[in-house]
Amino acid sequence: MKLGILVNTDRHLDHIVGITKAALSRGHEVIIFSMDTGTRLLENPAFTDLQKLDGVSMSYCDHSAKELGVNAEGVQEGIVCGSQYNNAEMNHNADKVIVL
Amino acid sequence: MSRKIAVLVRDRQEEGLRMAVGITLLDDIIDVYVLDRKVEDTEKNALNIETMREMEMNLYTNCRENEDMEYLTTEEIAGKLLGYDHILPY
Amino acid sequence: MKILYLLKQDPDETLKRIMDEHRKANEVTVLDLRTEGDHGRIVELIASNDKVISW
Repeated sequence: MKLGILVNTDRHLDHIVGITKAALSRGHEVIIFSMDTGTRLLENPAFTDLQKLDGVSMSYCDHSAKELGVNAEGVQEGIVCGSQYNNAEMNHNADKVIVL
Repeated sequence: MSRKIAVLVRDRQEEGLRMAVGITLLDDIIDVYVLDRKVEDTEKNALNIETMREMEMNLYTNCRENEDMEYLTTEEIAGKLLGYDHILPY
Repeated sequence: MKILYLLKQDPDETLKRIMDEHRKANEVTVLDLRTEGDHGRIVELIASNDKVISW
């Protein structure tokens, strides 16, 4: 399964991390797109470190991050600074999508 | 293969509507359900809804105050939701 | 059809009506994420249900 996680708040980091790791351990792939207040998690290494895991791809809505004044300077290479196009890609490619 | 996606717009209308327009970029089918409240009269909402009209997207609501959208009961919406690949409550 | 609800808050009246409607002819599972900490179980339910609705 390819699992999409739409992160549109900053309230569920524990579940994002836990679900991502549990999915990987069961052989699934995880696609994470953050937008809206979910982009605030880009300032938290517990979130951005997920990109280092094999089987995870991450992107975020630059419009949201800029509008909220999120400091994305420390965001690792490999996390795509993108747009709703990346969200469209996630929804197109994922078998299941959850919203956290 | 095209995906069929339902965006359920709840309290954060501006972002929900913006996302619904944005995720049309890969030619998937995106239908929008405005739940429980009238769409706030803001410039961003008006622009996104105008864009949806131009793209001939389906706009449904269970709130009769949204006079320019197709009204469905909540139960009818529940039934339609099962026809989508992804259901995205916002 | 198997439907999984992932709850992040108390269900409002609209969600209760949607769930009631789905229960009439489907197998509905409700997981409250405020109390569920077994992420393996969450993933297995996501994978095994036909539809997932996060609320």
